[in-house]
Amino acid sequence: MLEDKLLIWKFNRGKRDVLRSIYEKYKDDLVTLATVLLTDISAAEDVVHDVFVSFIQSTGRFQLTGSLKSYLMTCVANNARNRNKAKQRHHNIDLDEADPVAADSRNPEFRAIFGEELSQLSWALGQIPYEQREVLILHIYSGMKFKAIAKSQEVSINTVLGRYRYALDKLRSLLNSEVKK
Amino acid sequence: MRPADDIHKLIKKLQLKASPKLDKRVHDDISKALAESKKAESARVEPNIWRIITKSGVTKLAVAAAIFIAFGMGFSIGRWSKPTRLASHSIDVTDYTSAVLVYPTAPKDEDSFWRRKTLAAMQPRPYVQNQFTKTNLINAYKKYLKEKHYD
Repeated sequence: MLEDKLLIWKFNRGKRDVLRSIYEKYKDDLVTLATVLLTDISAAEDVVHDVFVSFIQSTGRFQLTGSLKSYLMTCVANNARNRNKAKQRHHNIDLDEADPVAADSRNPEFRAIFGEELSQLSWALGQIPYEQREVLILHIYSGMKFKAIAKSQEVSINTVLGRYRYALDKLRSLLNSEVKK
Repeated sequence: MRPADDIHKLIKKLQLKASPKLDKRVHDDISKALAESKKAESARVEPNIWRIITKSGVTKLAVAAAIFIAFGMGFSIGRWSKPTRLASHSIDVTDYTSAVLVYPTAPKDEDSFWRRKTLAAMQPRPYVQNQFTKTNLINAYKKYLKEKHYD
């Protein structure tokens, strides 16, 4: 925590050499988050790269006040959401009819990304809708509060809580059905 | 069978390593940004004083306070002090009293001029603290003529 404070202090003073330390500290978490959201590791790495490029360019232009990890996680989630929307527009698929991410998640490569132990979970995560998956991962994995998630998604906190509950229920049923097989 | 309640723990276990390719891309970008900022720093001119003042809130406050105090002091001094220069309708008769009244017939060569000045400075000057108007001066001159006439 103290290290984060120091990093933020240096960043707010426009010291760009601190960017390396920030990247090294959070790169794995950011790549994991983006991969879970997009179910595509190369797209996830592009997202993390884009986020860091924007972050580098913004050095000295604004003052970070909150948690550095939350800020970067929100940036990655926003970028991933935009990329997902662009992908959906590109394929001319209606949001209500099909989930392109779910199609990707059936890819055995994605199941194997997180190893054998977590293959069921990664498969199940790929089955739930994007918005629900985003809330679930941001809350459990990134440790973000529902209020912050609601703000970043520009929806009400009740919508976020509903998505979280639906995501957990679906994940439970998917994992249980997978185990029964 | 894995219980569904372990979802939280499982999700927290998710961990991927960033590939060396991504590391290289990001580090290259950071190096580029660092090089650009160094170039910009070397080309930067002296910081503008007004920019420093307008950027910092504390400095802004301090400058405003300094201006306010200076203005207030100037106002109070100007209100309570006497004018240093004479008004247009009054004439300072210091030289007149010292040079004319005390030694009206002194010789005008250079040596006696300085001696006369020194002696004049040592004489009591009753009118120095006063500022004479034209009327007062005329009255003083009349008095002088009267005294001279009686002498």
